[in-house]
Amino acid sequence: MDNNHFPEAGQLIQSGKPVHFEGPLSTVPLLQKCFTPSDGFVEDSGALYDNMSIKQYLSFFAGLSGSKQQLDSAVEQMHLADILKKKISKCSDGEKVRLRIAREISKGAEDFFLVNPIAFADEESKKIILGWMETFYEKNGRLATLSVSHRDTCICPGGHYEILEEGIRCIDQPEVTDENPDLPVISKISVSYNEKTFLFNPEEIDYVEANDGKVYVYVRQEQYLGSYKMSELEEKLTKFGFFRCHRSYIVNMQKVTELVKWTRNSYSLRLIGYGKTDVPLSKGKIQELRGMYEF
Amino acid sequence: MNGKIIRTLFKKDLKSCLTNKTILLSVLIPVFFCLLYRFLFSGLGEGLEDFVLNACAVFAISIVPTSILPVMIAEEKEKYTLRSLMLARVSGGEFLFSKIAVCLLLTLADAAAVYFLSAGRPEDFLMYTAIILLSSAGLCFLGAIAGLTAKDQASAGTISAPLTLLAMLPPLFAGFNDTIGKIAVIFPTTSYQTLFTSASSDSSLTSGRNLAALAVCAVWIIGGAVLFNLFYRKKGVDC
Repeated sequence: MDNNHFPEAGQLIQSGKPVHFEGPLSTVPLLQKCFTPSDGFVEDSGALYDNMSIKQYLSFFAGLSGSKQQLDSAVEQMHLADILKKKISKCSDGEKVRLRIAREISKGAEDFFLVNPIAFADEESKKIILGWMETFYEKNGRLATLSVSHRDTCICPGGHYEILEEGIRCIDQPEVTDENPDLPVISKISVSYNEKTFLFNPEEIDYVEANDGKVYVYVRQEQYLGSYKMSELEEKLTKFGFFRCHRSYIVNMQKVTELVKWTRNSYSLRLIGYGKTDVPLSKGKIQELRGMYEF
Repeated sequence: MNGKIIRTLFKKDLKSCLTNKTILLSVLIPVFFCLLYRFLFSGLGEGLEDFVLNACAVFAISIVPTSILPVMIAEEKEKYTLRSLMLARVSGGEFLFSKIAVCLLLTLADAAAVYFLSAGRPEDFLMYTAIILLSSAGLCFLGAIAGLTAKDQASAGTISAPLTLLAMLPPLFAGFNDTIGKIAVIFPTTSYQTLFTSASSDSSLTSGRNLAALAVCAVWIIGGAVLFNLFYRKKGVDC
């Protein structure tokens, strides 16, 4: 992707609501250009002094920027009060991201750009960070994130966009479908893997993901490339107990074990055999799901 | 340059040095050799203390600026902490000033430890400190350039090893023959030996040899600063 697409990214970031991009890390410098040096930049790795405690690290940066009055607020927003004395080398990946965000808050930043903000397993940190992101609906500040993972992008509350070679595509936008009433009724789903074609019964499928212009079908933790469009699969699979939980995801409800509420606007589903892998659930779909399954 | 930022950086850099085992070990090398020489050569009698002090002070002047300073700079690059400092509006000049100041302080502390372990005369200590500062300042610029060149701590170690030897060996081998003696004169570590030997024997610092030694220190400081400035402007801190 070249620089010419970034005015578009800049406009999205200026729009007022949090914006989440899915794309390669090579786009970080280009997205950074939409921000000024005084804005908060939260990198996805490094940049921490391992031998310092959380408190020492935050005080050090607050000392550099001369804005110590923001320090308490940063600690409160990132829920760090209980671990202030913890050595950074002993922090989990999630705590490290919270610390980096707190560092930028303590510098007095109002606008933020985060790279891979929830690419870790620590659930508590994920919840805190997603909750903080949601506050940007009511704040004046701008928030943009870049995630390599499609799943992480979709879980973040706000607008979701994919950075492609040809430009920026809205992930939340309804897809264009070719209506074809003459399609044969089938009960097998064809997928491919290593140039081989497999046919699965719908019940075997765990969930379906649309990413990067392709449709991926997950069966017993294996990823296969699907041959159908999402809308076609949704039509075929609904009668087998599947639910279109997100623009990019169709999930087999028989396999769902947990509904995770991250924030008011951010939910996900967990499936048998997929550990803590989250399948995003759109806010708009939650009522529909409640109606269907009466919970 | 902002004094408050430099003070904050200085505190952090000093604390980080004192908690870094590798750096502490390097700082302790001159002290270790001082104790070792005193133990090994304890039977040599008079003149031992002067020999030990001369050798170990040269170790302190050589090791800290040319091997510890590059590692300190490279570590910040390697761990991407330098980038976060730059984003916190720390300038390259402030970053390097703090590192050089910590390096000079460590050199002085190292040299002071060696001085008292070698039973140096308390009345000469101030002069000794001044000469140590004068002769190590030029080497700090060389160490800073090595730090800017290095991508990570490992490469900093590779770059700094010959620099340390270059600073350390000439005064130690100056007495072997005339040629080495003449070459050794152009190094600030030799200048330290010349100046301190004169000062401790109450000779005038304005003698020909001493003026030449002072000039060598001045050339290293000015040349180092110019070279460092050119290098820094061209390459920056490379974050």
